[in-house]
Amino acid sequence: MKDSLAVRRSKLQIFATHAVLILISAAILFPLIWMVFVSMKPKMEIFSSPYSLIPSSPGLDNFSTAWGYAPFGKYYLNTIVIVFGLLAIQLVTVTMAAFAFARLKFPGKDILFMLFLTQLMITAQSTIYPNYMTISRLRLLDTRIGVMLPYMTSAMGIFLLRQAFMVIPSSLEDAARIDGCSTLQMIWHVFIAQVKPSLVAFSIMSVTSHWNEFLWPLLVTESTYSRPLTVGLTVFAQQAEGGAEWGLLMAATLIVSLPLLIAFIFFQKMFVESFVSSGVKG
Amino acid sequence: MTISKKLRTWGAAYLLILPSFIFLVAFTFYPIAYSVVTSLDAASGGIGFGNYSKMLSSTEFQQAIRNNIVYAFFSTVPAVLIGLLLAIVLNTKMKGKGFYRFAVFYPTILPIATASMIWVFLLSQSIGLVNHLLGIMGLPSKIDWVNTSPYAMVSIIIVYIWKYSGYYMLLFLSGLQSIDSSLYDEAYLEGASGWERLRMITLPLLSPTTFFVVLIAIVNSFQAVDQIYVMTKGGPHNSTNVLLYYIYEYGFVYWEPEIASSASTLLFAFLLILTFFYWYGGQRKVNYER
Repeated sequence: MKDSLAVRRSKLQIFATHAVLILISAAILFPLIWMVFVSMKPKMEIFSSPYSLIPSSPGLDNFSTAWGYAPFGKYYLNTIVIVFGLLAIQLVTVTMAAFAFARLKFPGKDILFMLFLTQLMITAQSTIYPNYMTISRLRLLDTRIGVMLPYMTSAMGIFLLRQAFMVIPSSLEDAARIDGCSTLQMIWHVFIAQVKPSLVAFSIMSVTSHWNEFLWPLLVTESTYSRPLTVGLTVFAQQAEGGAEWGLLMAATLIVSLPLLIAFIFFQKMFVESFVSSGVKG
Repeated sequence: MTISKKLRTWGAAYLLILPSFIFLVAFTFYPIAYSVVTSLDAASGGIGFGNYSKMLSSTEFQQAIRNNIVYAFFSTVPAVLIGLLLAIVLNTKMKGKGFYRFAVFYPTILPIATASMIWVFLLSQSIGLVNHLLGIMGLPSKIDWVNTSPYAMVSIIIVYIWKYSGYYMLLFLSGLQSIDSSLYDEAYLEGASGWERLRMITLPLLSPTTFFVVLIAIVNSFQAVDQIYVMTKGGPHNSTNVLLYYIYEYGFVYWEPEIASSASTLLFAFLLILTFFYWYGGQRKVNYER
């Protein structure tokens, strides 16, 4: 940001600003810190000194116990297959549709585009019952493909990529046409390279939202065979709740959230840009 | 363009859209149609509003709607205000900006299901940190947060505010960055105080962003179901049952598809009205920027 006269601040203002920020960010950050420390506390200590922040004898026992207690390895595999399988399919369907909406003229274009945009608001959560019946009739309950099927295209992605395709100069397109490229070849060789930032932004959105998805997989999956991490965690919690195994539970919660947290720490800027593009601008 | 070339372009366009369109119809439009038809008992020939009158007159549904309005209001207002405050404060050069942004934004990327799990622990009656802190401050500290009313509602509101404030901050930040900074310089030279600059420049020019953030926040509050499933199961005594949880219950616990479909249809109608506002506001925003 450009240094403007008006945003220069007095020492007192700077101090007050930091005070407010520290207060709010501490309040928001604290649950994460608490989860990390509790997950490293032995069971006895959680009850004998529940409010001490730093464990007196920290260990990773809770993690190994939790990992052995529930098939988190299988849950991980399911989540990864679902999340990245979906992403691969979405990238194809979304790119194709976005290209048509951005660069081709055809009858009914505006109406079709409007139809897609309603999907931005009518989210998958509000259609759970009929979609469950569909998956059931297709005999895909308790399969990973059943979890994935309703999400194989994304209005958000089509919207984002259409914006990106629209600003590409048509001289590039003409040049490719003269070279004799077919439409698909042209999308692949000319256009994809130009819209990489938007593809990255969409991919981050997609991976985050499907990694975190809960209600739909809860309904569609019935066993370890297809359950993703988020659902596995609540199943685990229901089993552990009787014994109030908080250390185990926090360890399991961390197991589920860690990959995204680490990715976020390393690629903070990309995440932030991705989420901005998903919001107001969309 | 020759006719055959034109037709070829049309064909290519439809083919490119087709895969997405099939999924859109099967998993967005078919469900809407299914819900409307089922709710009206239209499959059996006639059309009736029996399901609606049954649903609307039940205290459980009325409670769910009331709860959802309370939830929407008391989660949206604080979360949007905190987001706005953070954005205004962070929109300057300062030390530690990256840290602050991480600290307030990370809940956005956490699954709500796991976030709720952390909060169930923080809010636990016997060894929860929240009760402990309240005790230190001399406030009531034996609260059974998730199992008694009205604290259960407060609990799910806390999770919402914690989860979304950072996201709204981010949206406000991008809105703030599009405001021309020379405006501030001029106001400064004319002797406007910091508060006046905020009131006369920042807030009016930010209003399109505010409009969108509030809409998104309201939609989010009507999508709430994960934290309710994990934390309260709609209880105690229905006090945290909201529209979407009601749909889930009637669809998957009581197996009454007619009632679930009626509630879904109302939710679709509500979301479509919001979509209309979204587009109407979007149109205005575009004109405004020109």
